[in-house]
Amino acid sequence: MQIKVKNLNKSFSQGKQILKDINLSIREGEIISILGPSGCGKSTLLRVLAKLEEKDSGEFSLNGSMSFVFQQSLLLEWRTALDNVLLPLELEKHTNEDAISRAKACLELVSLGDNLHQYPEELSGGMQMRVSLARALVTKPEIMLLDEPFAALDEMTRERLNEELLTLNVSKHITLLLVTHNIFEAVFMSDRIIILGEAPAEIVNEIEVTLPKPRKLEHRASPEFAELVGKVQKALRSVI
Amino acid sequence: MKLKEFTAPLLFLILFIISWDLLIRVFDINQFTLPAPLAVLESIKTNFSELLSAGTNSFLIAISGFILSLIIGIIIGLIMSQSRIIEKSLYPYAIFLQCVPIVALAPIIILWFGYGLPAMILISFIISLFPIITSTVNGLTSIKQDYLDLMKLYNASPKQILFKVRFPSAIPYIITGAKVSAGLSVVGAIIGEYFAGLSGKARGLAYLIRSTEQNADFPYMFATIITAALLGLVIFSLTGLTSNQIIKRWHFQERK
Repeated sequence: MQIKVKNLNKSFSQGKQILKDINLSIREGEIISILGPSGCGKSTLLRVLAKLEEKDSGEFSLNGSMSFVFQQSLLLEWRTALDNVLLPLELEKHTNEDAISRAKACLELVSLGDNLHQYPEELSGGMQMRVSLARALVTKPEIMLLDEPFAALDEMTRERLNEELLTLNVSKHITLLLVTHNIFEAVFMSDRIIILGEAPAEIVNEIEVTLPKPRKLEHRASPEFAELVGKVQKALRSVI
Repeated sequence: MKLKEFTAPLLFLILFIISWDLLIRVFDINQFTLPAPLAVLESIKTNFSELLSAGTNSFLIAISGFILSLIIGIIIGLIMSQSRIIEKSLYPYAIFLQCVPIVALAPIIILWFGYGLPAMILISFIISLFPIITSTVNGLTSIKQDYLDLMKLYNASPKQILFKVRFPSAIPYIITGAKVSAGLSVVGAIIGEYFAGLSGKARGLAYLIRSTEQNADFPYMFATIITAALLGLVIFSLTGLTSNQIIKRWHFQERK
């Protein structure tokens, strides 16, 4: 297993429990979406796994290098797209030609090969998010934790980026753990959908997504897709 | 700047001069109380080279004080932003510098540094220091937690966080502080001259204000005051132009 979580518990400093006995096993190359009511602890789970927050008890292991994509692109406004992608390598003191060509390759991977020297303010919201994805990819992660990365984008851009992520998952064999509140996105992207209940979050349901792979946008119009969306909606309604 | 932006202030200036002239004519005000605008203009023409030389001397004091405040202010801001304890320990003294009237500090400065250029620059420096410190601290500490999380994920050292993220994101704030300090440095330079520079060879605007007052040459005194105001405008504009260049060159978002 590439990600293993066992009896994970987490409370906030005020004593309010936010995660309760979370158990998860994620295989290499799998795409898992986490859905649940707002404020239930989805993002906290991801932040604990990324060691941005401390756990109270339980265990977890991430077998492989990890990168994290935030809800906002978090680009540095004074750096070009290329320099933003180079940042993680710069911090590791890799600033040679190899680092630059790696950063360029990542930007090309997210279709921004022509925008290397543009500043964030010159890029659209979708393009900024792509730069952020390229920055997460430049460290060659085996696991990517994504915290509602496309929440601020319009539906068209979101769909395109969903497709790009799926391509990355196949070509780079990256395991993706995605927090989202968009049911369609979760069904389209995932191999499995995990439903969390109201805080303190417990895993209340797990839905296998049986859609064929590789997924194309046309799949969204299929009856199987609609059926799965209905199933997830029902599961969510039972916890809200 | 577009022509349109000039029109309103220019119209106001013309209106102000006309009202000034009318005031003197209607109420028959003598020139010892308020000289006529034309007399002031005439005085500017006659004493242009002296005004220019005094203005240049004051400018050099102000710009030296300003640059010094920029360097020292940023360094103090950087130190203060390193921890809440350091910030809390040093902040009262920064406020102290801001609150104690500079005219009360000036005699002590002269006692320590004597009459002359260093004391004048120091007075200008002290008066322009506070906005730089506060804007630097504000800029360095108001960074969003998400950016710090991002740096934590990349195992960035505190030094890397400071120079790669915190300091660059503080630049727009420092620029805002610098614009305030620029005007204050002129005030500081003239106060400095009043206390420490009247006997020196390099005579600035304060010397001219004092000597024209003693000679009861009020049109000349007004001409000097106008020069001092113009000097403030020059330094403010220079700072504005430089900041705009910095913001444009590095694509910063300006903070108001």
